[in-house]
Amino acid sequence: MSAGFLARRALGTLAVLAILSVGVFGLLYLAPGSVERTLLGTRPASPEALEAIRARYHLDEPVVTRYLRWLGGVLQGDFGTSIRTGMSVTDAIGSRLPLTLQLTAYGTLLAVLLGLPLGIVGAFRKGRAVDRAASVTAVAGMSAPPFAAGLVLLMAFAVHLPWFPVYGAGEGFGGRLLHLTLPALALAIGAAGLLVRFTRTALVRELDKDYIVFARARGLPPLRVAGYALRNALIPILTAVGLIVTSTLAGTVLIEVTFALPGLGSLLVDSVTFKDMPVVQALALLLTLLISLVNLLVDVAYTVADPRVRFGEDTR
Amino acid sequence: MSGSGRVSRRSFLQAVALAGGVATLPGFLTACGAPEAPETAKGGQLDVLKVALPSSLGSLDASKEAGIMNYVVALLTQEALVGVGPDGELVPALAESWKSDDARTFVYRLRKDATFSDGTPVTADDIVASLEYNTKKGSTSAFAYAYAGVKSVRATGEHEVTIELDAIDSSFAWTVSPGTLLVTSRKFLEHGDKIGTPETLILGTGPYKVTEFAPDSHVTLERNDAWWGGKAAIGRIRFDFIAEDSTRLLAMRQGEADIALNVPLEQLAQWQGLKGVEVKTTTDRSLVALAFNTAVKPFDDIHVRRAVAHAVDREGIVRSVLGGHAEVATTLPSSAQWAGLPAADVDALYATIPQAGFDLAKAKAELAASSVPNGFKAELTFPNSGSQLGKAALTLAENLKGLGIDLTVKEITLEAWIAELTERKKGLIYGWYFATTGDPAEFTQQLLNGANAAEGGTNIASYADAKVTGLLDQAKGTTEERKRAELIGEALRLAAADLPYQPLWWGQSATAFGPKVTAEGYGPYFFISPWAARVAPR
Repeated sequence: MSAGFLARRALGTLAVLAILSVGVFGLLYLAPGSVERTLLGTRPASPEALEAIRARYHLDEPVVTRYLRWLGGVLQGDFGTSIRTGMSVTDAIGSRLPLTLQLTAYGTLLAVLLGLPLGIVGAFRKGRAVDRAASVTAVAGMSAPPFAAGLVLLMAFAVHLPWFPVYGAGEGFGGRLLHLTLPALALAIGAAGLLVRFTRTALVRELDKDYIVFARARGLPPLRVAGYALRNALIPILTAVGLIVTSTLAGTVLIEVTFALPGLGSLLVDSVTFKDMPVVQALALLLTLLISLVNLLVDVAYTVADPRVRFGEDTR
Repeated sequence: MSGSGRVSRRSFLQAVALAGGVATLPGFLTACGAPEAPETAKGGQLDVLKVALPSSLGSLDASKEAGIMNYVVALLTQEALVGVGPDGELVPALAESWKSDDARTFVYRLRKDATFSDGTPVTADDIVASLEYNTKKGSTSAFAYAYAGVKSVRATGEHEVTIELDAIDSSFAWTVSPGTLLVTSRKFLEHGDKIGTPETLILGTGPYKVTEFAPDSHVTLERNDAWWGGKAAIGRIRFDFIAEDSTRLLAMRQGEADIALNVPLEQLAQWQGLKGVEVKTTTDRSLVALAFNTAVKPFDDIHVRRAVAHAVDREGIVRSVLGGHAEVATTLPSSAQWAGLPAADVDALYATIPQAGFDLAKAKAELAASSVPNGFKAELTFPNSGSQLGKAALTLAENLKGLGIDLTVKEITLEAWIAELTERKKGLIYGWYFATTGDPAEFTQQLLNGANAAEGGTNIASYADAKVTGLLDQAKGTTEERKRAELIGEALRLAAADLPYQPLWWGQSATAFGPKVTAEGYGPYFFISPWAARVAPR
């Protein structure tokens, strides 16, 4: 792996993080609502109490000073303390990150397990009933918002057929797997639809190419032919998988609320409306990093799938 | 409709659910039959009481985040000097008796057998420390406002605490109730900002102690066998936070929850259809009122206020928007707020308060006589946690359109709405309050006293009438219950004629109890008492 390429990528990511941190900070600062009032609710508040709260959280300082104070902390590895909960931001995020990552991974895995075979079958049986059925299913899946799909799944597999629990994250590996199946499936339905379309289109294009026609004409076994076609169609499929990981990560925000899961999504929702700046900033940066990481992994996968692709060169 | 709010995620969800047929839940439930009862509670045994809460807690410490759900959890683990009885009367808690001859010096005699759940005994010094947490200068406690008039707090004996006020305040007796005081030990207070977080939790004297707190997931409690009030029937409690209404309903149906709080009123029929589930409703002593900011044009004109007030169809809103699960508010404090007064007297008082009833002809006439006879534009915002407020606002907007008043209805976040309450820039604003005491003076003083009328104060109508303020100040200095009630009543009557507020409704809340549990004494004050001690396996 070329070091220059990695350095360029890291610098690019850093630039994005810096711009994003300023943007999120500014937007949150401009958003309606005031933290000290929110803390006290609709109750009466003495000016002294408001003053004390403002001073404690440095809300009385100019916005630039506050940003620099936050940045200074981050550069020393201190992400601050949540205003809403009093917890350290690192603890708050650390306790929730595993669940969201598990849910994203599980959702992506289900999407690949559902989407890839359907797309392949569709391409090899182009125009036939099974292809049309796969396409219709894919479009239906892509059109279903994850939380609506979640509710339907709950009705079907937690109530009508009480196979899965209704809510919560579960304990232990087995419990976690059982509890995350429905939310992961809700996330996977839309993503799988996307994957079906990508896989089918890419494969159909490959199957029309001359080398496949020749391979078939020479009487190579169909499975081997399929293997060649699939390998050559892998780049767009990998792109789609990368998209799926990031969209699944974003989808967890709503799904976590539907299934009462204590992940990053529910933390983000609570923190944004509260204007809990340290938490929102840290979450925004973390999500950006995760997405950059996924994109990097996809790029690495390109080179494995196709040796002609080199780092730092245009892949498509 | 002239006003169309932003579509919230929830209303979108409901629309999607309707389209997808999820809304036909009762039919579906009947079709697939009742669930098998999971582990049954034969012989009145229940190891864990499972409670579904509609929102997560940010902190276990209610002095940091004083939401309704924070109290529901906190009041099982922490107590105050006095408690609140089932009819809203003050009852002994950590103080076994109290005395005040002049409503200026309050002497509390402490219970000798009280201990914190960590085993240490409760001393007068712990009580003083807990009070000082709120009274000290620069306190960031959400309860600090209630202690503004406190001059000193002293331990005047091994089991005695004396509080002295700057001036007579007959409402103060309520200040040391759980709404604005939660006692912990002096030692525990050293944790400072960390109190209420998952690592530090909270310490109190109540019937339960917290063993685990996972934000957005759950809180678990264990019985405190040393509670002075006796041993609660159920050993452990697990609160699960389930924000999505439909998910909560399914959890209740599947027996994954024994008690669910804040059952959405529009889903009441579906919840009542669950087998073995009993849904109880009670007034929650909350008030929803339309506030006219008398300092902002055109609402400084009484004719404009009357015109809008006459266009509000309170009966219609309670009937159609709230499905009858609320009471038309005829004044600010609900009738359940008058703990010290017989119900008949309250009714007699309320019958004398002038009303601006629903009458569009009168509304038209008032507008014609006003400074803006041809109508005007206004905006009414509502917090996203109160969709019923939004629906009520839309019915008002519809009525106002006929008068030439263009009312835009807009949904905003709860946080933004709280900020608007204090900014005092809007002419028309919703007031939505939950009482922390059983004292009719609470809403009355906060909303009508001229002393609170400045920006940042609680009198969101900026209403300052010398006579009303005088009556309310007099009520503060009156200890005689009946005389005090008369003064408050007179203030409400006088203010109603000026119409700074059009009270809309007094809310009700619904709680679902599953087949395994039964609760004794469920009523308006249930959840501001150590309620779980009165829940027993069935």
